[in-house]
Amino acid sequence: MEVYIQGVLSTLTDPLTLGMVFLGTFMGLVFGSLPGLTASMGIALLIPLTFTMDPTSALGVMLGCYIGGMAGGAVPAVLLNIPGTPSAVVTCTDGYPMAQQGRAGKALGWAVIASGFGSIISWIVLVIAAPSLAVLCTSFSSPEYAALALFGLTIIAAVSGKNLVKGLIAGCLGLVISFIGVDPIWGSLRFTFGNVNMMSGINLLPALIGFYSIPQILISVTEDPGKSESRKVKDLSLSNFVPSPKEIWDAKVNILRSSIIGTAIGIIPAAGANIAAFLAYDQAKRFSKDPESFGKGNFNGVIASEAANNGVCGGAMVPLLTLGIPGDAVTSVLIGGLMIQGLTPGSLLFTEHMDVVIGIFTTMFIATILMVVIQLVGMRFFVQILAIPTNYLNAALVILSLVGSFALRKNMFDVGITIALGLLGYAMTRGGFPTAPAVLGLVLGTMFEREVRMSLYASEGNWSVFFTSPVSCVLIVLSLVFVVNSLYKSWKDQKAEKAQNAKQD
Amino acid sequence: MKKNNKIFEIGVALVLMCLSMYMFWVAVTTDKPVAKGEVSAMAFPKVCYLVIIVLCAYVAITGIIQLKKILAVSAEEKVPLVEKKSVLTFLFIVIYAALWNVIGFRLSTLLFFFAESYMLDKKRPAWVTVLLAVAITAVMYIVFDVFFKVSFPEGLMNNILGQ
Repeated sequence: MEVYIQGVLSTLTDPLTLGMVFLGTFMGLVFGSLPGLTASMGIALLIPLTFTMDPTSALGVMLGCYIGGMAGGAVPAVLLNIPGTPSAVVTCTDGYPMAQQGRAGKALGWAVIASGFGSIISWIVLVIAAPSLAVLCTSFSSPEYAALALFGLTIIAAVSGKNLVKGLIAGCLGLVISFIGVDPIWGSLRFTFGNVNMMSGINLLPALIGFYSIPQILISVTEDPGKSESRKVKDLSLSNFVPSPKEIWDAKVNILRSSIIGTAIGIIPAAGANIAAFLAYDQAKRFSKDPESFGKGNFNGVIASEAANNGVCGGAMVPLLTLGIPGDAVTSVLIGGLMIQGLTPGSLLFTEHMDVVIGIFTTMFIATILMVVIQLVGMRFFVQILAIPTNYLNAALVILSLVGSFALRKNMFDVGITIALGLLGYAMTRGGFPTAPAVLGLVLGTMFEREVRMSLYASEGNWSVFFTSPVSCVLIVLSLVFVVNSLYKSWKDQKAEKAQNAKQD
Repeated sequence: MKKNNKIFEIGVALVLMCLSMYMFWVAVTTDKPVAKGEVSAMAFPKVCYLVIIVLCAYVAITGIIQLKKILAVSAEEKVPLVEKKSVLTFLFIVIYAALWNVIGFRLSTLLFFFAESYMLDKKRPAWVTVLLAVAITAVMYIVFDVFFKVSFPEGLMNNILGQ
């Protein structure tokens, strides 16, 4: 016990470590809030700076960037309807309507508080149960992953808004885009039409910028140039942003449920924050007393998305630290950072370098607190984005969007993809087709196809393979229940709408 | 407005349906036979394209019926299908991206910011827009090119500067 207390105190009293965690968290927030820049890019850039640092400071700066990067995506999602990170797509659904209703500060406040709770809850799980939870991430094989992806795809219904058919079309569109490139099983080329750039498929980031950023810009350029004046947030006091303790207490179930979903998804390697945010949103909507208000500015939607995507941070550290398995792109870069410090993740880390493990746990906690403090202090400046004249804001956003899609692979093809999908996204938005299901399909498509085919290949075409494991069996049954429930609800809503129309006639 | 949105709905459904029909044909003609118990590379795409074709046909047909009703009932004010500013912005975006390889990232960013900002709001003083265009270009260049080492296409700028 003395070793633990000493480790925590030495981290807390080391100004260099604290400074590095602050730097990393701040950089993460900046990276997260700029569309096209990701936390993994930030960590990759920071790694060279960490060569001469001690392991705790080095990991502190990287973990700060990870936690900050995950939370920062909410800022442009709420203020501009442009997700800063792929996992902030779900935050747009309710965050932006809140901003349009003049509640941008409140939406950001909820995003910060939910992100903080998500990180803290997943941190508690990481500290208390990391080694025992490591079993969970090794118990997932192809059938379980396939069932998880199927379960994820059923969320299309939750993010489809009023029209389930249009949501399904958008979801299938996302799926077919994800199929472009090399076949995940046999390696043959699909739908590449001889184009070398298409061989690696359509990257998520340019597609995301295309589906969200460009349509939003094309719609907002038609706004009255003087509208920015009316959108100014006038009362910038902190009480206007931060939810009261009573409001937080009232939302405790949603915060807790979403954080746990985020942590659980984070533990499963390669599942990712996007799936966590979609799943948590779906559950928040299902358990809400007022599901109709989701998508129209319900703060519970923001809570679900942000608590879940930050909950992934602690969850993803479980397989990373205990088994040396990176859960997502960011932890893949983090594992590189650990190895540069001469540390090999795995069970030996806990026995031979307990001081480093305590340092990691402590810096993660500090980074979470700093992420909340920096955002709360910076929020009054963030909301000023709304006051920028729309002509300048839109021009700057176009530049940032194209630069963001180019920066990832330094490839003009990605810029072309952004513009083409931007045009399609604009037409879809005008025609009432939701774009969130397309992103969901794009995120889950490859995983779903690969795992289903792998399972069938391994079982020689025996479909019962999906029902032999309890995890996949439960997930498939839940998926079926949710699909039937969504279809019934959609049928009921249409019937009610028809009856109302007939009454009006 | 309702009429325009309906036109977009039908248009998107028809475009996606036609594209999916073509892609479905590509999937059918390029699919290779597999051993018993295996799933072919084109099986998943074929199913998805079929779903899109069927659902888009449904949306297009119901949309056309609803559009006819809208046109018969209301004499809506003539609102353009797409606003001029949206069309011009999209054109500017395409030209801006195309110019990266011709006149380089820096010069095209400068020109785009000025042209787009000026087109959207001509009331703002031109010198402010020029100053902002220079500032934004400088920030983008310093942050991405210098700091993050994202080497943007420089086009003719390279020749002019003799690099």
